[in-house]
Amino acid sequence: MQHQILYKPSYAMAIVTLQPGESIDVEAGSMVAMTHGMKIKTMFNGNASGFFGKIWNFFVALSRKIFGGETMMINRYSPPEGQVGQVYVAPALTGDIIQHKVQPGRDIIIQSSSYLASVGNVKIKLKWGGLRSLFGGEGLVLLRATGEGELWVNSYGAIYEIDVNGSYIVDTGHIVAFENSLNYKIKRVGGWKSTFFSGEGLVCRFEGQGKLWIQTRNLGQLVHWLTPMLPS
Amino acid sequence: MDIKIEYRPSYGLAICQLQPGESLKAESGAMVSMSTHLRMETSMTQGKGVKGLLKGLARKMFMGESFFLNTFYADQAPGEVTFAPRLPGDVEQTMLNNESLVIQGTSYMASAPSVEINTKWGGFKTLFGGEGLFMIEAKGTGPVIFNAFGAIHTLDLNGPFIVDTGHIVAFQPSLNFKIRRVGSWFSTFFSGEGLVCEFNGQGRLWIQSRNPKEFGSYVGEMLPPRRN
Repeated sequence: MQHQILYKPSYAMAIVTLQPGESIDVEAGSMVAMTHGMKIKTMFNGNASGFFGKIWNFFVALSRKIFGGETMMINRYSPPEGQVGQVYVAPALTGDIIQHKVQPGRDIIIQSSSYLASVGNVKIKLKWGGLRSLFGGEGLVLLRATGEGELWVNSYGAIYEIDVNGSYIVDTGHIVAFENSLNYKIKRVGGWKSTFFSGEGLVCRFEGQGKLWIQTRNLGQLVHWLTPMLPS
Repeated sequence: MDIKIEYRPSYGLAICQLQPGESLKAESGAMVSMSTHLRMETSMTQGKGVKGLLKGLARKMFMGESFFLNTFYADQAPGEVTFAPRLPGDVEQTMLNNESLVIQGTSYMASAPSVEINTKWGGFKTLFGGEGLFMIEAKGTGPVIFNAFGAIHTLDLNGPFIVDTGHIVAFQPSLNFKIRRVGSWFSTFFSGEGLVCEFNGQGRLWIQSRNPKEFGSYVGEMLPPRRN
């Protein structure tokens, strides 16, 4: 597998070259272009196998659709027998893409709409972000990438990478992904007065050591800005 | 005529210097700025008179594309005119030399008067795609300027290649193509990829790194319903 990411940070697109026998899982709807003859397999976004496993996958995918704001389908692309193939991937939103290795014991937690693609033995599971995340209305639903392989995540806006050593606070609408070695807590900012009037809503406080990726724009804020401007 | 494109790929702007006697036609609404002495005339892309107007209206209604073109003339003295698309994104130019270029309708921005714009190009089965995809044909000699949502990625094809229909910007007609499903019927309905365009042959293809409809529906779903 080789890859390059072009047109960062505004309109990033990843071009992934697959060797014979390799395959890439891509978030539904994110394939831009591909070489001829690629095989495509559309799957519910789950990992269990067998008949009951498939039913379980369906409910997992459905819950992701409802709670995760994410499509329930993943497409697996693989080159034709014995050949090399390329897939071009880009998200729906304007913004950046980064690639990161997933290794055993070094899981990555991803804000659900930021998952773009993965190669190798990477499993994506729904992770409940904690009940408190619901109160913010900022829909912080998290996915957990485990296993071993390559992972691509996308953002709205550019991606700022932070090596956390100690503690750090991020607005929940700006979280893209972080290493599982970080502990996190969803919190209010300051007192209750600040929570309602500071314009910051809920924040996420990270503790420990590990990488954290945040996005320079917040989609919820774009929506809030646009909404009053719509004709009634 | 000299055309420079600045601020790529996020906010492309075409800056065009016209010599006396030169002109450029552009999609209505694309002009950003111009020298005061340039003269502008508005015309329709299809024919003249009532018949032309009706055709123009039909084009607007069915294709979602404006039917007026504005032509900017530098009569006596050189002058500058600049063009930008509505959406943030890239702008690209190419020089036609007695040849054609097929451009996705909303990507056409401007061209020399010696380039004929044919909005009735029937090469694509536009409604079949259901993606509001229609193509125009630019034919003749001179520069053509087009725009995209996202960055424009240029590919020189030699053999088959597959593109999501929402990402096509322009291509040389030396490429042949067919619209087809992705994988099995199951994939067609659930893959989120819908229909793709399979190109074949030799020629240049320009694609965009974002799909405006996908972006629109992503953000649109988060907006409150429109009250009528």
